[in-house]
Amino acid sequence: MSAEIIFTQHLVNGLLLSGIYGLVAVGLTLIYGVLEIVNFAHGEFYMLGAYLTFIASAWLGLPYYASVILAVLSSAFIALIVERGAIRPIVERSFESKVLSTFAISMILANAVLLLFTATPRTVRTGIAGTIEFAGVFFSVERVVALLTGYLAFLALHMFLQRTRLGKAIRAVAQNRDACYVVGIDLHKMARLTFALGIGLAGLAGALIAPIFSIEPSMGQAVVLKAFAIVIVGGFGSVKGAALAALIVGLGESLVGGYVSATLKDGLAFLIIILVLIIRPQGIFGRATRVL
Amino acid sequence: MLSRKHRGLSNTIAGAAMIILLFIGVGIGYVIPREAPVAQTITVTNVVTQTVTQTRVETTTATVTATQPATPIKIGFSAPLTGAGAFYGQQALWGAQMAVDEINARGGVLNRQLTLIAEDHRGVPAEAVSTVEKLINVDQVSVIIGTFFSSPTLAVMPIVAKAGVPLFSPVSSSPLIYNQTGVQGNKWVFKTNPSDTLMVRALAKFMFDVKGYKSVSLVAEDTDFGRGIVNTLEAEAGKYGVKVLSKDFVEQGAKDFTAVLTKIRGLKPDVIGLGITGTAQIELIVKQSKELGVKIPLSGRYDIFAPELKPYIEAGEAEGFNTVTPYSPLFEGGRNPEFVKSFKARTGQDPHWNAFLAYECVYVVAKAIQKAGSSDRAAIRNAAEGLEYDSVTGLKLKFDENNHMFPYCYIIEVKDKKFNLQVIETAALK
Amino acid sequence: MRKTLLKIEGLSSGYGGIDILKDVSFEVKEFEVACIIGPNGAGKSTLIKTVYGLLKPSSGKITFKDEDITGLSPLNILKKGISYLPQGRAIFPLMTVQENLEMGVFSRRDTKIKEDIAKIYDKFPILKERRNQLAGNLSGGEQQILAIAMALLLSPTLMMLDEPSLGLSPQSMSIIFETIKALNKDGITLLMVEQNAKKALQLADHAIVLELGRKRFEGSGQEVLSNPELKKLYLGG
Repeated sequence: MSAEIIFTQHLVNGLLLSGIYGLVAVGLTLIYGVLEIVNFAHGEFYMLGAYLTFIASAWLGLPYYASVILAVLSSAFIALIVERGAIRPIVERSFESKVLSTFAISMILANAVLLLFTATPRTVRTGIAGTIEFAGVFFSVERVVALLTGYLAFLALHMFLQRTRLGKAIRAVAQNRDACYVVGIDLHKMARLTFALGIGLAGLAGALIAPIFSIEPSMGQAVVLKAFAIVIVGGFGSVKGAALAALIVGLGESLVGGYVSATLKDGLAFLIIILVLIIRPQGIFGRATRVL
Repeated sequence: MLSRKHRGLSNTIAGAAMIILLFIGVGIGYVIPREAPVAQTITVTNVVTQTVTQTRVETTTATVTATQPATPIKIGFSAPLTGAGAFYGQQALWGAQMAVDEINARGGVLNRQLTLIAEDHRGVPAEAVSTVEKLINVDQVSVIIGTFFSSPTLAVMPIVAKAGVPLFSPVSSSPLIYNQTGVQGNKWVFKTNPSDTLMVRALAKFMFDVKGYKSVSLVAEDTDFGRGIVNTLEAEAGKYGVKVLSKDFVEQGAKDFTAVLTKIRGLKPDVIGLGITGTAQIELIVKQSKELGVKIPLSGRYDIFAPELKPYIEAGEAEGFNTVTPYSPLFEGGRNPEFVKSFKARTGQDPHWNAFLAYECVYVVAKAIQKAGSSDRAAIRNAAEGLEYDSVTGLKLKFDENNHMFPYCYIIEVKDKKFNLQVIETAALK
Repeated sequence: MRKTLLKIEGLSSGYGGIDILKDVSFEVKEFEVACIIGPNGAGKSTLIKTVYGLLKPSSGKITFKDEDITGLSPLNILKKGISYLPQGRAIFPLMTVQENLEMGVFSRRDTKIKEDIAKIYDKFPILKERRNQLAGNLSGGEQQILAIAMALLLSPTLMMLDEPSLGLSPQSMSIIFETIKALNKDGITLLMVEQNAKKALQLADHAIVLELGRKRFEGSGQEVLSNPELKKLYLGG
């Protein structure tokens, strides 16, 4: 087997990984941009998306695609409840209050799932497991589906933000809250919508990853740390930055894991943070030029 | 927008709704049965407390004795009852409880009943330490059985030695344990299973001599167990003149092995030597190998009996996979067939090595208590030194100067969708 | 005698339970230009933020067109016909001028939106020229005109402006004041806060002088300009 094929396989693996990172990170950055909240519970919503998929497919017996849709919708719905109960009351408060509140949400969700499902890993079966070979490079069907769905969701988000009235209003809130008062954009409504949207994306990422890896209540913690790294590298509040940084981290991890050391792989994202913070503290797309 | 008063009220309503949802969820969790059915034959099971981080299950056998009821002898049990090792912990608890029930049915030890107090450490060394401290200080147990993973066992060893509580380790296999116990220093720790050094030595002979593999790639989790396996396999490979093409350590509980597997695919070794715990992990390795077109047999130490692997074995996708295990339900010597039968009747499942080793360990503990003539911690320890025990497998076992026993180990190979078995005497490999 | 449009009675308001504005009362008549002046920290911005519903008054009453609007949310106040231009540039810098105007009609659902935007372009030809540029790339004066145009799309009866000339070049400043004058001619009542008091007072029919949260003086713009004491205090001699 040639070195080129192996390299291509590493790139393909990395591409699949970055799609998932991207979905989580974009939701995180979107919520930060509009609500000015660093959502520490984001990883737990990703975990929730995976468990909702598990419930829908293993308990309710729904087909995988239906389970994904149900998982995304129910995580967005749970997000609406959480927004009402735990975000709205503190949205005007200090940074510390916001951190504590989202941290509390994270702990409640993680421990509720732990109580319900125990820490024992679960597996979601899709019935589409399999592999496609193309010129010596192998593509896992489940991963390709996850990747395509992820990128499609990303494209849909982009179109929504750029082209629709509501999407533009979300960008408007991120660009100038004061001006929203002038034109009568309801900040609370936009915050609610954005929170549900960001959480829906995290839930989608969880639903897509569920069949690829086993799921467990602590799965959100590792991912959210990487998503934070990606958002910092991309510039807080920048959707385009998050997408680009997710690509860098996903490909980087795959190549480091393949050519350097599997143990170093998980540290890569944080190494990139340190480098970016030294060279370009505002991130690749800093706040000044953010694209939201 | 709502008025201030109105808003406060709706916040309260939303908060209440969240709490209600949580409780509904918890309710559903109790109604819907857990994955593994709880054994039907356990006499009385009281779930005493169920907290988020630890599950404590206390089981006592309600046997009415004619004589004045003496206080039961408490045996502590620390295992990964949830988490990546949950399957192992559950099996171990079943095995240990089966032995306790059998002993109690025959009148107990020293005319006293045995009580098993089980604690969950989720496979985390720090949590193993707190479960053991609780068993020692709160439950005041006479002896502890545990902790089923090497790193947790190594973490609790100094603690039991300091507290003066004998610890019987039925499953942990890191050679680091052997190097610290008995005459090596820690007199409070006893081990009833063979260490990885001996098991891997037996496996290496099979891999490099019988199967004739000429090159190997090593993948192990970054734990005492995983590093121990890799070190021993590497040393053995050297002895046989076999090339080690790569050596990778992954996080315990890792889920994405694609980078390592892709790299191995390029190196084309004859065999992959694993040092992996976790039934989900071995399934992910097999699944991702399949997806990446990696068709290299797996060897080393991993759980070939994991329920998750069954479909792959039945589909003929695990041909040539081999490993070494400290027990096999397929073994037909000694009283093993009877053990397998009654375990199956009790739990509906085949006994895993965790179940068997925990079962035997309880008998070793009972024998030590009998010999000590008391439930005193130090007396049990003294009695255990050099203790002899007749294993279910028919082998006569005895604690050596390092407080270790040397039961059989088994080479398992998948051939024609079935397990092929070879029994090895570990004492001869020392 | 002109009709009273906005009536403020005994209004006290502030941040975090501490009143900055203390017991202020005055009226704004229909079609006039009212101007609030005073030193920093006098409570000028607090006053109009309270009228717009961004701050909740601790006491007092606000009446608009004979209707009590105290404690309503900004969105509801906007619907009553009051618009508010905060300090700084109330525009969306990463959207084009056209998109900004579209955001201006965000709360409208009627069919005359396109027509109204076309009218705005007729009124402010500079915006038409720049319609496809990012609003963030416009000059300060152009941005302020854009913000006023966005507010105009909601056809307000009363427009409140918080320091519209802040940070503008003298040239842009006079354009803004011209624009304000034109708005007033079109029948919009104006209530503005201005640091640049001299210029604002020349324009104002009615001036309110605030000091440490209390009303110190009320009269016509000319009266303030000709009062030597006030002139010395607030207009730098």
